Amino acid sequence: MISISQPKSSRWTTELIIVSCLVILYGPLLYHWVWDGWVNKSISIQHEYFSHGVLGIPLALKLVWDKRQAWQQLSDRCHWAGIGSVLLSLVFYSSGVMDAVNLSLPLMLTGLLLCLKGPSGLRLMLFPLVLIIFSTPTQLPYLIEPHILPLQRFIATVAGTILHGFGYEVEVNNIYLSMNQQLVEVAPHCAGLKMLFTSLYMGLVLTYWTALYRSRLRTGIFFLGIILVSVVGNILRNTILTFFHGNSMTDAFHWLHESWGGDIYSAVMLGSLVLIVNAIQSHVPESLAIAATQRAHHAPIAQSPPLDF
Amino acid sequence: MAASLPSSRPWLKWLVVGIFAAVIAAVAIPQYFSGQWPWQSPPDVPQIRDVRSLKETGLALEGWTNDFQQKITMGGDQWSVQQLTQDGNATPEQMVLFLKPQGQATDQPEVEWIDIKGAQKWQTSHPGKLHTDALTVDTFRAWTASQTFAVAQWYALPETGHPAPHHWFWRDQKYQWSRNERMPWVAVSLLIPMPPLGDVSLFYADLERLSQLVQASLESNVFTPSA
Repeated sequence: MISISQPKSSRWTTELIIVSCLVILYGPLLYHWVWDGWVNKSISIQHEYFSHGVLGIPLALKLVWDKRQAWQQLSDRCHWAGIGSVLLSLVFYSSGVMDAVNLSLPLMLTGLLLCLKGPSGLRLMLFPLVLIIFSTPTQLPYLIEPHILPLQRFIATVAGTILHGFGYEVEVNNIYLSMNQQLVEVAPHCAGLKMLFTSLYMGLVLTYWTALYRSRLRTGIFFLGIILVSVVGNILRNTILTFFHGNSMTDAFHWLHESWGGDIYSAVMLGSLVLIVNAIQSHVPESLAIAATQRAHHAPIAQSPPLDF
Repeated sequence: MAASLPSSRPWLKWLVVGIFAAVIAAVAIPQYFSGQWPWQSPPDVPQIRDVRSLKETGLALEGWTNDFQQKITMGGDQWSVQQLTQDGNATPEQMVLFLKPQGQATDQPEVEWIDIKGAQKWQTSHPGKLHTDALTVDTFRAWTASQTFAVAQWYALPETGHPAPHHWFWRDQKYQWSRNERMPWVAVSLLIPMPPLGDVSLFYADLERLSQLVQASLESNVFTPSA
């Protein structure tokens, strides 16, 4: 069969129509997320947990744009799950229930990928899709918060021990630190759940960018490192906050707690992620198996050739 | 791929586009014209006035006399604290009731139990749970330097109550879908004075009975919308 290459405009007709529809449907919602929620912080604390979307969503769009040629080369096929996903998403969208309206965006995008190019389309756009899924504000932090009480307690105890070590009179009661009659509560947000969310998201981006994901070992160590850095960072932050509060240094407390001191703290935390990636790339092998093989080279060659695995 | 439909059905693409167009015409365009986006008209709690007024008035309980009631601040939020004495010579004679009603429709139950424990400087032990029909409450023994209490705690909701915030959360989601309303809630902490180092399980029957009394009173006085 002879295939005639279609003119450029008609090749992209479906995509253009669908993207226009998406802009009409979701433009105002994204504006609401970004402007009301993340810039003006007027929606809720739960919504602010996802403020990394300010970076993540544009990055996702750029990655999709970069992949447009590969997308064009995929054959058109429609997976039934895609239709189900799109229909469910439209039900969510028209429900008017905010949490459902938010969720309808990633559902819609997943559905469209499956509808237009089938599973291979989903695979091609998986990473940008994941970036958008994790930027979608949900009530997940609300549901998680009650379960991180042990972490809050741990941070309070360690911060109390550190201050005690410096010779200050500190009392730790559950998640409360009291110093000179001043009470500091290690609340869930203060326990760094927000920072942990942001760090994990940035970790995801870095893993993709540096192609760290090709090695499971390195990725695993990296994410363990992220969690560790964010817990240690929060212990230090709460220690300093308690110190400021206990010594009635109100200005310093507010500077670190909600002013640009907090931003510097966040920047240092995120900067340390880059350092961790660099350290992992230079010190951690791609996988334990390769390390073992390299060592095996020095040993006498095995009698029988290894089995294919 | 077996589950994929072959590409020779371009109409499927156009079906998707057609559904899109229909939804845009039916849902999105009216919103553009009216400017009424879902986030601009969040659902209400119809009973919110009655719920909120608990802070000022406390709760009236049949068979109990209110000794005093006061609005106090704990953990940055306003609570009502009241002491009640039972009419006649019944036991227990007294109880203390801490109520933190929802202040506005967007308030969610969060860390009320930690707040009250911290603000009252309670030491606690013997955690337990009591279940009755639709009501589940957390129980424990709480003490300060001067007093010991048997405590029951739960988030009271219409027709049910539970100490965990997720219990409210899923019911609230259902309310939003089915009635376009938010679910009202009141955090209740009920205290019965008890002897220091006493056995808290001896007070389970009282805690259960009084929890149900408080829950019933909340349902009839607060959660039932006044017409």
